[in-house]
Amino acid sequence: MSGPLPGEKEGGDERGLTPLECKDAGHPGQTTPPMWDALSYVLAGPLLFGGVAYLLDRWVGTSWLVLPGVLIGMAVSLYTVWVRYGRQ
Amino acid sequence: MSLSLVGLALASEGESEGFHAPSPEEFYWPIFGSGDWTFTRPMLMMALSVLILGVLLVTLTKKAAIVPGKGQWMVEQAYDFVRNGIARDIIGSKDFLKYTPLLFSLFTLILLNNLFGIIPPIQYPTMSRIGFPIALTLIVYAVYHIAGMRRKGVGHYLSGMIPKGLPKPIYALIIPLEYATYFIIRPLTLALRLFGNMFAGHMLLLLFIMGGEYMLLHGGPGLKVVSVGSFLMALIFTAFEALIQFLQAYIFTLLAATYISDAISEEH
Repeated sequence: MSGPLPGEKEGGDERGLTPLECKDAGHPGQTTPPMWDALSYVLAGPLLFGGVAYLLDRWVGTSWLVLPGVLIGMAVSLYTVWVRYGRQ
Repeated sequence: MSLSLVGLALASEGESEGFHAPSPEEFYWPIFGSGDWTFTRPMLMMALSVLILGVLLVTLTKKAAIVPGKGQWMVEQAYDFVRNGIARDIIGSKDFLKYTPLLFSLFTLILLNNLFGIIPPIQYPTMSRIGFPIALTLIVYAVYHIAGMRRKGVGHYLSGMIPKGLPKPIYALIIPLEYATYFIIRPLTLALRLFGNMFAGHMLLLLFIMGGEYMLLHGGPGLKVVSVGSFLMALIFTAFEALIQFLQAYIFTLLAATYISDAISEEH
């Protein structure tokens, strides 16, 4: 919001950084995505594995693969959410 | 079967005089042209929003002073929110400046177009037409994948998407899931979240306002009294929509920043 203030010095002068650059330094960035994005994983599992199971059903000629496919997808989704968000 | 057919026939008969519930057709507003080349109301609004934002941002920052005036202060607040609150915090000090213009444009454009939904003469959220969120999502999609591939190289970028250190057999399931998430589900949810929120919100307001109007003008004395409740709900939900509209613009920008940060960050 505020630009470089005239009197402001927070170290780093030896490399000739402007006060604004000094202020911007030291923000590491976020390594885990925010929770909003967990939705993608929750949807991806059932859709992907359910979809593959549906195609397998049509190919092989069976009719019971979709349910286990969706369930496996849910399990993999939850596992991935745990790996991504819960493991630190 | 036959019963539902009778119901359908009755419904279509009653339709000519009774109340029309709002339907997705309410969202189609052709202005001129026909077929695939129709120029529609949301297109006009998108053009209008670009014009408004351009003029506003240029005029308010033209005479930028160290002690800002009211207009400059407001622009700076918005810019600061995106630059420091989203870009710097999520992408990190090293790379965020390059992506700040994109994120600021996304945020202001989506916010203004969302707010159109409750600004009286317009009252139509542009993003309730699926094409607009898809176009914005495609830009974000291209930016984060290209940024990641240029930073790490294609092979390293693709292998970086898979979390390391898991038991071997699990990878057979995890690898397809991760790629499906990165390449298909993420852009899908990004576009659909914005579209769905704006579409449903507009539908809700339409229902309460059209319902209230119908009860007031065409109903008996009892219904005329009840219509007050419908208008009151419209008022409450308009305030609620303002919150949702801001929130969705924020979430879209936040997730865009997250995807960029994820694509260019080294660790995983």
